[in-house]
Amino acid sequence: MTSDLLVSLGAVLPLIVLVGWACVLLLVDLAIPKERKGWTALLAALGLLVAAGFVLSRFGKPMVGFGGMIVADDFANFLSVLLLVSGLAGIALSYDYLKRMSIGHSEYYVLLMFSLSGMILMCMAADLIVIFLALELLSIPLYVLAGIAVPRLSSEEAAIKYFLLGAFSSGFFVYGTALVYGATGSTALPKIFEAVQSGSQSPVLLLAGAGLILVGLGFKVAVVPFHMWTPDVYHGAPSSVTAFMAVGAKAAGFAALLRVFILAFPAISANLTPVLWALAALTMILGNIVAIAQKNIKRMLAYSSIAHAGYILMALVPYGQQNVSANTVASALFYLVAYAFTNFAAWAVVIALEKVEERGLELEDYAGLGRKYPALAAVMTVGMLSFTGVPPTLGFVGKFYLFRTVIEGGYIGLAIIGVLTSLISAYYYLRVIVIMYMKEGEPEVHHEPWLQLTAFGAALGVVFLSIFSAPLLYLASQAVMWLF
Amino acid sequence: MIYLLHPLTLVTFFPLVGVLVLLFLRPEQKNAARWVALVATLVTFGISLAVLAQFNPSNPDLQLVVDVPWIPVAGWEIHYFLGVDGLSILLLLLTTLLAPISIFSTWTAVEERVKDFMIFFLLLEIGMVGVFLAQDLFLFYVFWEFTLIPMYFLIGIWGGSRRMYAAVKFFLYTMAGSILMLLAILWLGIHQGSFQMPTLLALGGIPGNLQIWLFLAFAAAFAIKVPMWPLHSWLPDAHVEAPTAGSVILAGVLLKMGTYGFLRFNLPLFPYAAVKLAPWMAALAVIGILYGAAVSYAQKDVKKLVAYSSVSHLGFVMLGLFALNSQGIQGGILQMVNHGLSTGALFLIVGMIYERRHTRDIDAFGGLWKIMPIYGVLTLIVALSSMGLPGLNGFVGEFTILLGAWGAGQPDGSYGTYWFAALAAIGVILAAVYILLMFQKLFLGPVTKDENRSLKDLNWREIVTLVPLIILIFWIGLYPKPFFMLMGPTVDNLVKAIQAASVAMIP
Amino acid sequence: MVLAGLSVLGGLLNFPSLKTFGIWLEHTLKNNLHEGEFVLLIAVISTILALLAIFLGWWLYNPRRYESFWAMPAAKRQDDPLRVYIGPVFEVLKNKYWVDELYWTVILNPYISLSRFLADVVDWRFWHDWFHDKVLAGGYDLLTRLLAVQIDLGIIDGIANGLGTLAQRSAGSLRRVQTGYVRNYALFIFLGVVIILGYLILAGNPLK
Repeated sequence: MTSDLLVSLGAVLPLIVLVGWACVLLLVDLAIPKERKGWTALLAALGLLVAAGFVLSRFGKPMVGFGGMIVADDFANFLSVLLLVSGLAGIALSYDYLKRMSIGHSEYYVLLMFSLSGMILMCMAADLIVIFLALELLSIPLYVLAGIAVPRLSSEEAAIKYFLLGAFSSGFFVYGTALVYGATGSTALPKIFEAVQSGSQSPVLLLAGAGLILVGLGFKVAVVPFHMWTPDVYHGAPSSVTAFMAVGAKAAGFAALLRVFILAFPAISANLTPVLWALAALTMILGNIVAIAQKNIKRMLAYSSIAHAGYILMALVPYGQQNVSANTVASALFYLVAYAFTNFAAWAVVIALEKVEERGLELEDYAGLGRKYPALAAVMTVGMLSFTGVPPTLGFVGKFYLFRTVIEGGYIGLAIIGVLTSLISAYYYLRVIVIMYMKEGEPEVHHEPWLQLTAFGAALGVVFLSIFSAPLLYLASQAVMWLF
Repeated sequence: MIYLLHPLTLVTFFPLVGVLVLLFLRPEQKNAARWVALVATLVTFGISLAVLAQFNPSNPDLQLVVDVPWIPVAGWEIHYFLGVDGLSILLLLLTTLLAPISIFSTWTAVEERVKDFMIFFLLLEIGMVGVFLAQDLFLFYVFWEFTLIPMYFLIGIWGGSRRMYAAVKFFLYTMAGSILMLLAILWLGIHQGSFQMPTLLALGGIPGNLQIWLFLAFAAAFAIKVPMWPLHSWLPDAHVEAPTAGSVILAGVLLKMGTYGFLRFNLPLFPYAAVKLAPWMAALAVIGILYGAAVSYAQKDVKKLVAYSSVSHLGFVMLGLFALNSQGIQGGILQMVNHGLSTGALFLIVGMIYERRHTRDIDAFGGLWKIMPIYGVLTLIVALSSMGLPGLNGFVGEFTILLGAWGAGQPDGSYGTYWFAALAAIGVILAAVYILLMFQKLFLGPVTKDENRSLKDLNWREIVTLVPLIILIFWIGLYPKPFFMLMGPTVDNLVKAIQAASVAMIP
Repeated sequence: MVLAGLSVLGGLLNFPSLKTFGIWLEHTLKNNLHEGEFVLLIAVISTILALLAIFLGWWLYNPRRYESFWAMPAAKRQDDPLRVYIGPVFEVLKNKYWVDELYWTVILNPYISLSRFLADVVDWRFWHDWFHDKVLAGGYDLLTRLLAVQIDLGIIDGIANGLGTLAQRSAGSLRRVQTGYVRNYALFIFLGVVIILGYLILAGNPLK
């Protein structure tokens, strides 16, 4: 028993480090004087680095813990590294931002770490209950973080909406879990798989359960029609939170979706695939079209984030086909990395231009950026092009891989929708570039070292990793899920 | 690492050296920026001449190949694969020749943000050369899409009054076609197992119906680029609003990327579809010829007139290509080069008068011959070349194309009817109509507008930009043999392959 | 005088025994023409007639007759001695049988009128002015303007721009779905659930 426990603890070691560090930080933070709150950020970052170190050391050595409820395989490791790097980027973005926006609560970093631990847990979870646990663990700090810019009304509004709708969808998730339990007699993914394979359960319950689980997770990643919280929350929350949330929640949500569907539900893919197809198509179409009408950059990026969830979901559609499911996983993982880099590049520029009282966030505020701050404008340009999927950016390679998966699965129609919506997206991404370079204006920019580091690092990553993409692609394809 | 120093890698990426140097310049150092860009493009041209020197015209296969696995993962093998053969050698030279000429022509035209302009221009050159040399579909697509970005910026920042509209339209319109091509490329990669051209060509075996879909998907991208009627609407706006150097390179090279794409990919990869769809393509080509010429005549803006003339000229090229015989294709390739030279020169010429008078209205001139005789003579030569006067380059191309189209009109040819050739010949006449009208309105007659009286004739810099083009105009017109020799073996091979494949194909 | 000299030479060249001219022509022309036969009778008659004409000329216009003729005062004498003998016939001869005048009235003047008519009316006013300038050039002008404005700008460009407008209008209307009210958001989630579940449950399940 003890050895079992030790192994299990070893499996969740990074989590323990993260959570423990966060708890300690919470106390340490009390001792740090108000002017030096930057220390909290640095300490948080240090914690993330330590956790990342542990994760990196475990590559290639899958571990199972807690009776199979936690699986620390390469899939989880890959995503954990991605999430930790996102966390670091999130901290870097917040470093000066919090001071600028007079958000005095240094619990911010602790909350971020807690949320991150939930996200990492979600990637490791192989049991529906643990997924739910992770879901709540990652969501609740995010609710608070969304509202942390109190007394700004839009921030409060964002937090409440997120919380209400989040709770609503989590309810669906739990209901779904219950139905699946009723149908298969277990919440552990392997057992569910066996039960589904043997066909010894009530299909109605199973399908309904699967559908509800899809709903619950779909809410988190912002799939239509569960996406409606996204614009308001992304808009209202402080920008650094949004940047982190956009990547983290999506990565975690898709991790769970991938695991659950590929591990537990391959046999019923015939029923689920049309649903996934429809959701992916709707998400891509709606996300991209409504983004055209947006004049606020945060809302525009929110809709863009919805659209990208659609693209990743597209890769999930052929999950039931044996030869394609490996590519489903790899392309989704690769695209999440591409999305992360691009996302941070874009949001870094947004944060650089944002002013207090939610000013500096309209598209017109970007006019003349190309002339006055060419480097920053270049970062944004790279971000926009990567979102559109134009070479030589990581977004292009990612989309290439995603489309490849879809075509391999034989869903040409969906690929065409994906490609056409990418074209539509070019319109609003290009608009930002047009405004930056081809309109006259006097933008004001905040020069903060960590911010600029993040911005340029992300942009460079987007371009260079697209040219030298072999290593990343290799890693993504090697990040296989532990199959029992 | 030998692939880094390989001549094709150098000719593609050398402008990057220029970009890096430019990044270190300050915005005020305008002349330095211009010189850096000019030197970079001239060196690239020199490298391309070295490539020509190493090119063996009697070898029909790909030469000077550099093939390095680039992204080998998860069952797909993307290579960094460049090669040159009879189809691309002339276009490579055209690109590297027009680049320094364009930069030299922009010496005084662009005064704002010169450094940025040059950076984008050099990036554009990298993309264009890459398109012509790439032999791996993924690499080709990367270069193809990549050229959109600098061109978009060139139009959007340094263009005319409606530049934003034109730039966005250019980008979206072109991208619309390209993304369909992307799907086709993916399909090929997945189902044929490779992205490399030689492998795909050797494999063959794509069933007829599927070939037609893939052909159409690729054609979507290329037809928009050529541009073929009715997908040409982006061209007038893009040309009118683009700065002079942008227009020169757009007409001179970018449009050829479309026709080249048909030649390099559609014809060899999908021969059955090519044969089946040839009459349709020819019909669109002929409509383009006649429509372009007719609409050209009605234009009041000189740049728009030349833009529509491109639609007409490239209709000829398409007609030649889809004749699927040696004359047609060789005529088509030669005409691609010819169009690059004459229309490039025409845009240079329009740019010169625009720099002086800041108007492109055809009625704002008149009698310029008396005031700017050198300009008049040079324009006359270029105009006659564009028209297809025997003795100049345009005639050689058009005649060869018409020969090919006539040959294809035989019952066993790809068109099966002589109508296409006949109607195209009428197009030659219509071309004379609009060109001569333009020339007459600009140059002949009395000087009607006083503003024109004080115009200065061409300075030596402007003459230097036109001279190489004019030399080539005469050379190709009087002695086109070396040019045909460069293309001959590869084209013959291609034609044989198409005939063999389409005969063996079971639909 | 030159003509006379040359014709003597030509005649001498073709003297019956020499016949050089005839042989030369024979070789020059095709079809192996043979020169005409030398008929003595015709040669003699034509020679006699020629000699007669020479004698008549001398007799009419010789200096002695000439003198008496020219001795008469100007008012009374005719302009030519021959007129005395043949009177009215002389007029005919003098006017060369009015061949020129005939030629002019019958052939040349009508031809000139016709030619002017063809040039001015048919070729210029009708063919050049009306048909070419108005019908062809004007028609081409109209056609090209129609193509350039109505069709190219209006329809073809219009379709391209219309797609853009369509995207923008859809965006405008779809954006209104985002009402800002949480209850609406929740409703949509619920609707999504209903539809998904409805589909999954009702669309049949192959796991039996």
